[in-house]
Amino acid sequence: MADRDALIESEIPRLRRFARALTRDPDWADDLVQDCVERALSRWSTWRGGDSARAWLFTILHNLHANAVRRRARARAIFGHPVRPPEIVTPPPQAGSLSLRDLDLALQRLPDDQRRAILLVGLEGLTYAEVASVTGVPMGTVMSRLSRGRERLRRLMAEGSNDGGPVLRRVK
Amino acid sequence: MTEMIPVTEADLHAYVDGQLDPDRRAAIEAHLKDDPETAERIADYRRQNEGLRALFGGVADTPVPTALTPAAALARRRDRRRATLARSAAAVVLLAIGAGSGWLLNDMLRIGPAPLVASLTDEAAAAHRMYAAERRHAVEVAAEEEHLFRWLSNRLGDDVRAPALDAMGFRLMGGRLLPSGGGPAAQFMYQDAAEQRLTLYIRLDPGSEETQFEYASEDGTGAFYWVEGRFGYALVGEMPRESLLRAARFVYLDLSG
Repeated sequence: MADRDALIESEIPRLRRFARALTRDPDWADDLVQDCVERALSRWSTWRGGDSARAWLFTILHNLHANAVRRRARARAIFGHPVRPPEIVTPPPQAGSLSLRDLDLALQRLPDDQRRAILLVGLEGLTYAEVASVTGVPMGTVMSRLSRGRERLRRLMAEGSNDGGPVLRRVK
Repeated sequence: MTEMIPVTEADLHAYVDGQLDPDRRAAIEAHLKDDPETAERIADYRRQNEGLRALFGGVADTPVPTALTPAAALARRRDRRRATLARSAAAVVLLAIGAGSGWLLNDMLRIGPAPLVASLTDEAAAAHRMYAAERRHAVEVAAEEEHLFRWLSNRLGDDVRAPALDAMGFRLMGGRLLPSGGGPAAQFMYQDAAEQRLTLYIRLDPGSEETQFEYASEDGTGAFYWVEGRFGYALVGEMPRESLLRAARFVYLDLSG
């Protein structure tokens, strides 16, 4: 049990980093991590060790986020208009260089599945096989999400650096 | 010299992400020397990875809040177990109230892992049937009494309020305190010009899944219910789904604002 708790605890900083990058909302991100830890504890016996503990924890977090996004979409469908519109968080001007701001904004405009793939690989350093397992899709799908997502990021950033930013603030 | 295998898109990404073996990596490097356009694209992808680490890497270095640790999660689970025990004792009482309405059977047959939310409708519907029929004692404290919200907020341990629904033709009559599982709940009652009544039921629902929005109905009584923050809410009334939805939407937006 002590091993279990220590193992989970050692992954929390990474889980928080992924959740923060995914949501851009510190409170929501920590809520997701908190739920993830609770679930990992209650389902510990279902972890068969086929995946690394890290991949297993990321799977739980990934699914929690995907479910939350679905629930919000469903609430929007019922209400007929966004209850909580997906906000594009505009980073403060002092937060890094112009190109980092552009990257941050462009990332938020990617479809969720592409953003998740890019973050799991580029930020978290998971292998493609681990990303396939975490997101529950075949390797080929991971590769095509990665490929389309990166190309889209590139295009969005090129647009962004042409003219200050209004383009990036346009929500589809 | 490595055997010439066609360079795929997947190879290029694996090159960017350092997921190639050394031989293959050398082959890609050679290939990129002859293809400056692709080389530029690959350099961009690399910069994206570096940018992501620059943007978010710091989060992993900040101290982890205690609430996120396994120890804190285990403590919360112990607390919840105690609350559930208290709740199940109270459920016996509810069974007696709910069984008469037929509502409980409806919820028992519903398959799904949300027993707390399901029993939210039991409680809200039972309370609605009990008090919406009252002529003289529909509420415990009238809306005019200024301590109504303060009193219920104190008892529920958090800010509790009832949105004004006058725009929809419903006037707030007042509210009452009710027992709910292990703790208190609040019921607010509204009435329109035709004396049609609507009740908003609010109870503490810690540890439930985040915001859900569901509809249930039985014998002409409908309820929209959801969990938001620490509270579970149910809006109950004998009216068509569409009318109730308009009111529920109003309440939801007001309370989440």
